[in-house]
Amino acid sequence: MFLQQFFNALTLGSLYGLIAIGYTMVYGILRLINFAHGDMLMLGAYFVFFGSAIFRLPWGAAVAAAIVAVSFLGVLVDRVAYRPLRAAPRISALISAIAVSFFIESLAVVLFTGLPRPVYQPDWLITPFEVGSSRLIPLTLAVPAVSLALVLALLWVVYRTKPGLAMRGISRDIETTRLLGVRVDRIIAMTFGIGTALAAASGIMWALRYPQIQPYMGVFPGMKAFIAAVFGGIGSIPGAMLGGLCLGFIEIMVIAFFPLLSGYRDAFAFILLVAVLLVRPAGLFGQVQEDKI
Amino acid sequence: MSGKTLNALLTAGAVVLAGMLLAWANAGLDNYSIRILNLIAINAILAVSLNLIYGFGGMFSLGHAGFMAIGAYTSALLVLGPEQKEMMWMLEDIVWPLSVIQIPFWASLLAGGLAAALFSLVIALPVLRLGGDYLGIATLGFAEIIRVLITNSASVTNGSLGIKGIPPHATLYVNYACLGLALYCVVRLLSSNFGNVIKAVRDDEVAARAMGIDTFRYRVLAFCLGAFFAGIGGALQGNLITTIDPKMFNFLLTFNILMIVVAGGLGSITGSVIGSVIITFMLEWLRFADSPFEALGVTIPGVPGMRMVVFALALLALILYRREGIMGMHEFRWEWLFSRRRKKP
Amino acid sequence: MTAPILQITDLTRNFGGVVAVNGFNMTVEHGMIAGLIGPNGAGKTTVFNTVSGFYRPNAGRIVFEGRDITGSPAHRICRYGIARTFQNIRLFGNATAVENVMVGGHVRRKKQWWMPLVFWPGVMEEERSIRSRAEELIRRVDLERYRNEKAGALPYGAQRRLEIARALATEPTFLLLDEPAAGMNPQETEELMQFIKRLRDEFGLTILLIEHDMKVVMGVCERIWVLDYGRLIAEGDAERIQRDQRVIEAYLGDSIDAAADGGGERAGAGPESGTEGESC
Repeated sequence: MFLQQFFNALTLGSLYGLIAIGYTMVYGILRLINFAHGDMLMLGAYFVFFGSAIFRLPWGAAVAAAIVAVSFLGVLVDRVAYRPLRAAPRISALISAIAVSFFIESLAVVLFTGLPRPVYQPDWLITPFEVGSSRLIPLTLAVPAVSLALVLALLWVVYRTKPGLAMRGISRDIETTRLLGVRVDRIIAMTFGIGTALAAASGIMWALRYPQIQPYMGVFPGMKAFIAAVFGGIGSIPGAMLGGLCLGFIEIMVIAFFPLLSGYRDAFAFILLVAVLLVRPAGLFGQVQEDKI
Repeated sequence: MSGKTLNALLTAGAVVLAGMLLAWANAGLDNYSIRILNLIAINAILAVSLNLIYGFGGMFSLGHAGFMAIGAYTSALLVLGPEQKEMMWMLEDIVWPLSVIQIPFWASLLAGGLAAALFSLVIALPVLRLGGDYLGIATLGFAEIIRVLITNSASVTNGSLGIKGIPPHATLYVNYACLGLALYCVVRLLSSNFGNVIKAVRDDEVAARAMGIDTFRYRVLAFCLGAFFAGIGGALQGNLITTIDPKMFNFLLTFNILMIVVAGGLGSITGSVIGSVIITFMLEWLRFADSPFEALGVTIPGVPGMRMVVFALALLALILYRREGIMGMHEFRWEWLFSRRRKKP
Repeated sequence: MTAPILQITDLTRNFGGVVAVNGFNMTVEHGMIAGLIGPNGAGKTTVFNTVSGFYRPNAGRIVFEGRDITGSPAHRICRYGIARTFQNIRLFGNATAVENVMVGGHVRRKKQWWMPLVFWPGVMEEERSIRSRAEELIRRVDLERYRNEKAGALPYGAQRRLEIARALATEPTFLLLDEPAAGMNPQETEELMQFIKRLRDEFGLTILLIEHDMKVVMGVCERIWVLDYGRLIAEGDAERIQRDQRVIEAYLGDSIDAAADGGGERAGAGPESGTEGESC
C-alpha cells in the first residue's frame, strides 16, 4: 500500500518536475511566466491521440511526432507573441502570454470539442504486477525513469555544450551575452523548443497516467508546476525537478493520510507557494537576486 | 471665472445630463438594451479597478473573477432573508450567523467589496513583498481555488447549486451611481499626490524607495483597492442577474475585463470606460459568431466557442500592434474638448 | 566641536566571493562637502547604496545624526534625512518635471492617502503646498521652462538637476550625489561646482559626492576619501590627496591596466571585473 502511494507520488512529482523545467528555463532567461506552457502539455496529449486515432501511426511514432510538433509550436509562440515584446514593459509580455494561453485553450475547445476523450494505453504499460502486498503497474516506474533520463540529458546540454553555455550566459546578463556574439534570439528559441518538448513529453505521460484528455487539462498542472519551480528555486533545473517531486509527494501523501481534504487538493500548491515566499523566497536552490542599482 | 470652477461646472452638468439620459433610457428602452447598459456600467467598474492594479500599479493580476465571486457571494448571502436561505440550502443547512443575518442592499455591496479586499490582502502580503513577479500565477490560482472552496463549502455557499432568487436591486440607477462613485474615488485619488506616487512605484521602484516611499505598502494598497472595487462589481453583477453559482466566475470573466483594460489603454481611466462600452457591445455582437451567419452570400456554420478564439486573437493583436490601446495613458479633459489652454500662475 | 553627521565604522560588503567594500571608515562633519573617489570598481557606489539602505552591510555600523541606521530600509533612511541621486539618472520618465519633484515631497506629508476622498480638513492645503514647494524647487534649480515637460524628454544636464531637485524635496539634511558631473562639458561642470556650493549654503546641507572629474572634486570638496579595491587608501583635503603616493599609484595603475585592455578581447578582465553588481 505504501509502496503504491510512493510510486504514485513519484510519478506525479516527476511529471510536475518536467513541466516545471520549461517554466524555470524561460523565466530564468526572460523573467516571463509563460502561461501557455501548461497548454503545450495538453497539445502533446491530443497530438498523440490524433496521431494514432486519425493518422493511424504506430504509438511510438505518434509520440515522437507529437513531441516534435509541440516543440515547434513552442518556438512559434515565442517568435510570434513574445519576441516582438522583448523591449516592451514586462506587463505587456505577460498579457501576451495569457492571451496565447487562452487562445490555445479556446481553439482546442473549437477543434477538439470540450468533451473529455479516453486515451489509448499500451497494454504492457498497465499490466499490473505484485511487489509484496502492493500492486504496481509498469507505468508508475516508467514515468519517473523516463523523466530522470530526460533531465539528465537536459543537464548535459545545459552544462556541457556550447548552446547550453550561451543559455546560462543569457540568464545571467542578456546584453553582455549578446555583445559576446551570441545569437540571443536563436538561443531563446532553442530554450522554448526544449522546454515545450519536455512539456509535451510530460503531457503524453500525464495522459497515460490519468487516461482522459480535455482542452483545459493543462491549466492546473501548469500552475502547480510553476509553483514547483518557485519552490525549487526559479532558474535552477535540478531545483525545478526537486520542487516538482516535493509537490507530488505533498499532494499524494496529504490525501493519503487526510482523505477529507481531497476536495481541496488543488489548493495545496498555492499554500505551498505562500509558505515558500514567506520563509525562503529564493526557493531550495535559488540565489537571492540583488537589485541592480 | 477660473478654469477650475468652469471644469467643476462642466462636470456637474455632465453628471446631470447623464442622469437625464438614464431616466430616458429607463423609460424608453427595451429590456435587452437596458441589460447591455447595465453590463456596461458594471464592466466599467471592473475595468477601472483592474486598471488600478495593471495600468497604475504595474502589477499583473489574474484574480478578478475570484474577487468578483467573493463580492457576489458576500452580498447575496447578506441581502437574502433568513427564510429564503433556509429553503434554498438543500445540500447542507446554512451555518449560523448567516442563517439569521439580513442587511440592506447598499451595506451588502460594501461588505462584498470589503470581503474581496480582505482576501486580496492575504494574497498581496506574501506575494508582493518580493516585488510581485509571481502575482500573476498566485492570483490565477487563487481565482480557481475560490471556485473550489465555494463548491466545497455547501453550508456557507450552497455549493454547486449556487444561489438563486437574489432580489434584483442592481437597477440602472444603482449601477450607474456605483460607477459614478467608483470613478470619483479613483480619479480623485489618482489626481492627488498618491497618483504620482503610485505611478512612480510602477516606473522605477528603486528611485521611489530612494524618495522615501514604502513601495511595498503602496503596491499592496493599489492591489487591495482594485480588489475592493472588483468585489463591488461582482456584487452588482449578482444582484443584476439574480442567480450566482461557482461556474459563473471562471477565467473568461477575468479575460473580458483584461481585454477592456488593454483596449482602453493601460493607465487611462477614460480608456477603461470607453473600452467597456466598446467591448461590451462587441461581446454581444460576437455571440453571433457562435451561431450560423451569412457573409457575402455564403452561410458560415456557427462554431460554439469561436467567440473566445476571436477574442483571444484580438487581445493578442492589440498587445502586439497597439499596446497603448485607445487612449494610451491620456485622460479626458474639458480643456482638451474645447481646446482651451490652461494657464496657471 | 559637535558630533559628526555621518559616521561609518568598519563597513564591509561582499557580492558572492568579491569584497566590494572592506573595513571602510568615514566621518563626515556637519555642513561639509565631502568627496569619495577612487578608480572604477573601487566600491564607491557600494558605499552609497549601503548608506542609503539599498544594500545591507555584511559588517560594520552606519550612524547618522546619532542614530544607528545600519540595515534600515531605504525608504526609512530617506525619512531620517538622507537623500540621493543615481549615477545612471533614475527619473520617473513618464511623469512631468513637477510631478517628479512632488513624489519627493510625499515623504514629508502628514495626511493619509484616503483623506482627499472625503475632503478631510487640511488635506487640500497639504496637496497644494506639496505642489507649490515642488514648483519652488524647480525654480531654484533653474528648470522652470521644463516644468510640465516629461522628465524623460529633458536634456541630460536638466535631468541631473531635476534629480537633485527631487532629492531636495524630501527635505534632507544630507545629500548623496553619485557622479553629478558625468557627461557634462567644462562649462556645465563649472556651473555645477557653483551650484553644489550654493545648495550647501542655501539648504544648510551636508553633501557627499562621488566624482571622477578631479577638477570638481578638488574644486568643491573640503575633505576627500579615496577607495581602491574596497579599501580606504587615503583621506584628507585636496592638497594632501594630490600629493599622496598611494593615490597616484592607484590611479596610474588603473590607467596602465586600461591601456592594456585596449584590445577589447579582455573586456571585463581588468580591475573592474567582478564588481559589475556595484555600479549601474
